[in-house]
Amino acid sequence: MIQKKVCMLGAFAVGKTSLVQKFVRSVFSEKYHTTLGVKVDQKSITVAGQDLSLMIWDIHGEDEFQKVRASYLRGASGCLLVVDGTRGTTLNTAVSLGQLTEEMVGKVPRVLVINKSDLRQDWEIDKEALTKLTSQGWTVLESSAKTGEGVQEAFTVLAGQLLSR
Amino acid sequence: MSDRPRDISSEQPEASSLSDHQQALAELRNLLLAPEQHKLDHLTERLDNPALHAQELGQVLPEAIKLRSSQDSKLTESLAPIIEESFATSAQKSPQVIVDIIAPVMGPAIRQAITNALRTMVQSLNQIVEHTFTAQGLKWRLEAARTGKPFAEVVLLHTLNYRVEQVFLIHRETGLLLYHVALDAVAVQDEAMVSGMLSAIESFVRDSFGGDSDKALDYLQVGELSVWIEQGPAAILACVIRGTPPPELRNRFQDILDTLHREHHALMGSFQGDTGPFEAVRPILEGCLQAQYKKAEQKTSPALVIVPAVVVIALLVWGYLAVREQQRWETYLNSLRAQPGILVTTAEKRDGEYLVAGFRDPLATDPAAFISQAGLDPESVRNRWEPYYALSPEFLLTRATAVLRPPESVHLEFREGKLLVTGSASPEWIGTARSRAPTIPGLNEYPLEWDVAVDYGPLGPPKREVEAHRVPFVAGSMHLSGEGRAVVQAVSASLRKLEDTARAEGMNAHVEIVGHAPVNASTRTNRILKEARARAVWAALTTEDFPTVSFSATGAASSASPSAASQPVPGGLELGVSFRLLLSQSIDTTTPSR
Repeated sequence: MIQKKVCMLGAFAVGKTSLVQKFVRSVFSEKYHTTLGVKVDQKSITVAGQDLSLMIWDIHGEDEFQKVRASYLRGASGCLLVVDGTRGTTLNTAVSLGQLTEEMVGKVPRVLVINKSDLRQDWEIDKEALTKLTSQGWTVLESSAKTGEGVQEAFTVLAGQLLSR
Repeated sequence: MSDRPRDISSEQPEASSLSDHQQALAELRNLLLAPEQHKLDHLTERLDNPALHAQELGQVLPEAIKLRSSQDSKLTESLAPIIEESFATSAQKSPQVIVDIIAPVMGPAIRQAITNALRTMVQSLNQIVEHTFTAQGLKWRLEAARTGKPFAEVVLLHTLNYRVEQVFLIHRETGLLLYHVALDAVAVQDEAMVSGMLSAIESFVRDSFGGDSDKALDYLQVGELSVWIEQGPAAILACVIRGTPPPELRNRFQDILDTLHREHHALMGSFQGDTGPFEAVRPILEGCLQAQYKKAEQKTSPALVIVPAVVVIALLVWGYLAVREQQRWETYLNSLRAQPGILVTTAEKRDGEYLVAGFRDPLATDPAAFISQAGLDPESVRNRWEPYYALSPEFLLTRATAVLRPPESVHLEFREGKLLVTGSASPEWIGTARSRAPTIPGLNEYPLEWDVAVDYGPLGPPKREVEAHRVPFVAGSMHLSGEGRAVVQAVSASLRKLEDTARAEGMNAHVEIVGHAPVNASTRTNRILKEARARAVWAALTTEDFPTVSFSATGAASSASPSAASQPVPGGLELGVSFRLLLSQSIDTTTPSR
């Protein structure tokens, strides 16, 4: 079976760990647990008839006090950049982390996920910004770890891009 | 269409001219283009002839496959489904062919697997037996019950020095697990995640504390488990160890990692997430699964003590029994040899039993009695005795006693090489004994002397009384004097008493009347005088009737009856007649005989 390392990146509290938990274990918790360092999970999926084992590195969220360690990105085949739709600044963080990833491991598949779609009414990110990112070549998806909306799709799309490389 | 008739005569030359031109053109073409035409024909044939096609393709195909395989995996991917399908078809059509092909490979592999499984099972059984039925096993069971730990864990705790339970080969760049091996008994969960986390931790530690790429995490301790991490250029080797491993083990791990890099460098370098090819590293990785158990105390095996002890004891017992048996045997032989009347000629042990042969006097002690006395098993001794008569004095004495059957008043003994018969006995016994004596076996070798007085019983006193009488005669006279007649009457009185007793005893008496004369007289005178005196007394006595007494008169021999002659006679007279009384038989008890 093909294994691929993918990294969950994004600002703190955007829902990276919740997305991983929902994807891997189909559970969601309202309780917030900050991630220290990194937590590795594994999930096997089948994309286009090809079995794939995703080693998901859930890396701690980045903020002004704690930067993502570049060494965690080493060897990554792709990344999921997670944005909190209710916090506009997290989009900038995601974009900058995408650039960091490119610097570390080159142009690997990456999917930008606007999380917390269940709180769409509170989103600070408008459609225009997303359209602009899409036009720049980003794959932009919406998801909700709480409801599960778009979670499977986000990982599946990323996996499809990994296999098509 | 024109139906105008053609002028044949004018067309004929034109046709001929055209043919010439064509021919000329063909010749010209042939002259100018013959080599090219030939090549063209050859190429056409190569293109149109499939056989030539296949032949030429076959010549370049191996090289082409090799070339393309070195470039990328497209050829492999293209051929894979075809080969799989071909293999499946072949397996369905001719399974035996497949069996024949893989049997040489699978056979040893299956045997190896079965052998390993059996060995593991036997070792487990040994450990179970050892840990279940020993005092130590019971102690550990108590400890397990007391601490709540599984028994296996307690056993492991006490017996294990160290054991490498799991080995992770991790791709250094991605942190992905390339291959993982573990002991059968170890429960493994999410080895891929463990690999990722190890890699993450390693990165975290390096970033947090190391900074230098040469410094990396190489040791983790989790309770009783430790994780030793060896860094390689392309891969990381992480070994999970239970117990306390020796430091040298790290060199072993490093050697194995070096070997992996040396032999599978290309595989690691081109790793794109496909771990399938890494099955090849399994044998090398399994070299890391080492274990060392505490050496059992060098207890001497009870068997090593018991068996020699039993052998020594058995030898001692056997030796003791053999010596005792020999002593008993010799005791028996000595007893036999000491016995009179037994002569041992053969004594040997044959076929597990003793054989004794020789000569035995019937009067000798029974040899069987000595077998039990010596302590031998009577069944183990076989005797073969030939009878003979021993000439030893005691046997001769016994034999004489048995033959003669002497009364208590007779004593038999050997003295100075002679068999003496002394004492007193009845005339009947004396007669019988004397006749039997020559029949005693062996008696011819020894002189036999009789000194047995005749015992007349109640007739003894009257006999002596009769024989005590002496009839005196006047010197030179052959007539009874007055004193003589008085003595004859006394003799008659004594005979009366004797006759009564003899009658009571049922015996007959004979009175021999012996006449005497002075020794200084001439021989002829004496003889006449003796006989005359005897007849005179006989005549005086026979005047009375003695029914059971007979008489005879004779003159004494010149050298005989000294005792009678020495008897005193009354008042100056000389001895004229004496008496000798014979009962039943006339036995001369004064003459020794043989």
